[in-house]
Amino acid sequence: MIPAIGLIVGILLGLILHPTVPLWLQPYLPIAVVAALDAVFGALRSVLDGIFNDRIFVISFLSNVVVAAVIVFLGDQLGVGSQMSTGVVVVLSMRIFANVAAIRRHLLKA
Amino acid sequence: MGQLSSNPSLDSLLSDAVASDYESAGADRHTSPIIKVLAASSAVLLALVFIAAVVDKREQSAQVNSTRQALIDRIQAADKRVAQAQKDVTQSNVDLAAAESAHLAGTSLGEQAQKRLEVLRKATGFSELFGPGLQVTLDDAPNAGSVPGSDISLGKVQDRDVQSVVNGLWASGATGIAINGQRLTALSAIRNAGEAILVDYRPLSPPYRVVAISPSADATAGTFRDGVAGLMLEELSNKYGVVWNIATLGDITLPAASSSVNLSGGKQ
Repeated sequence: MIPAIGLIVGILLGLILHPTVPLWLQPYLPIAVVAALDAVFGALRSVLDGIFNDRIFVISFLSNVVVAAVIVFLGDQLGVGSQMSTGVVVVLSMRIFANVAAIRRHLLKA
Repeated sequence: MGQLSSNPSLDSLLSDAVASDYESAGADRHTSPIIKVLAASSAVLLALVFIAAVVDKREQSAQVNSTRQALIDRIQAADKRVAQAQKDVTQSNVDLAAAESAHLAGTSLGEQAQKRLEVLRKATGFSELFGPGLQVTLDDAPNAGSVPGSDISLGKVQDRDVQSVVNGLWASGATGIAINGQRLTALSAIRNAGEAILVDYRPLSPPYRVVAISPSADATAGTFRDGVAGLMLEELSNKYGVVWNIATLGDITLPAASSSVNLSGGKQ
């Protein structure tokens, strides 16, 4: 419940404040968005499974974002940043699809 | 998902990657307030990241749009300046002609010079030319098409066809020629650029109307038809289906050559 309220507050804040992204952060933005989506769908799935846990929500979101950012940063330093981004996006997209499939099975029984 | 692959290590890779984070620990009914605050703030952060990404993307595309609009505006402004400058040139030419005739009129020497200037201007395409005209119309064959695998196009009028028509008309006694409204001068070029024929670097589109003025238009038409150019056109029409005809027009006016040609002529 609390995270859902947090989500709505965050969306409202974003719409009101119009945050600008600093230039050095821009390469990480797509990665951060995909990691965030993964956390949201994972949380939604666990709510439906009845095993939602605030602690795991916090840790999984933060670690997803940090690990994804570190991988892309390392890749940038090694000159393979775009390939690393692709890898991160592929893995996180797979997770998103798996989570959405589970949610779908819960909601639509299909 | 695991059934798709028979390789156990690939299986575990896929199932580990997509496993739910929450399955290891069950639902926790007794979360501490700190965790709750953290969860709420990460949810806020998460939504903020999402909105920031969307806003950022939109702003970027807005910037691209405004840059493009600025470039378009600059091009249009430059076009307008060119048009204005061209108008100025035309006006100055008219003024120049008026000043010249005012200056030369009165003395017999001046009038002689004036007459000679007029003859030269008409011959060089500097001024308009009025007189009995004839028109040679050339058009691509109705079934014109390119030969597959080569850049030869059958039945399309080429630059050299137009060139021979123009040369034929000069040889038959024409005193001034314009193609699709473009007056030819001694410096005019007729050439191909890709699919189009350029006259003085301006593209023409078919049909090509070569208009000539000749003191004796009927005789010129006859000479042209029986000359090299006329025979060549006959051949083109028999072999490739190129459409052409020649007709006398009565009294017509040919426009002066475009100012750029005069300028380039003046430099040489």
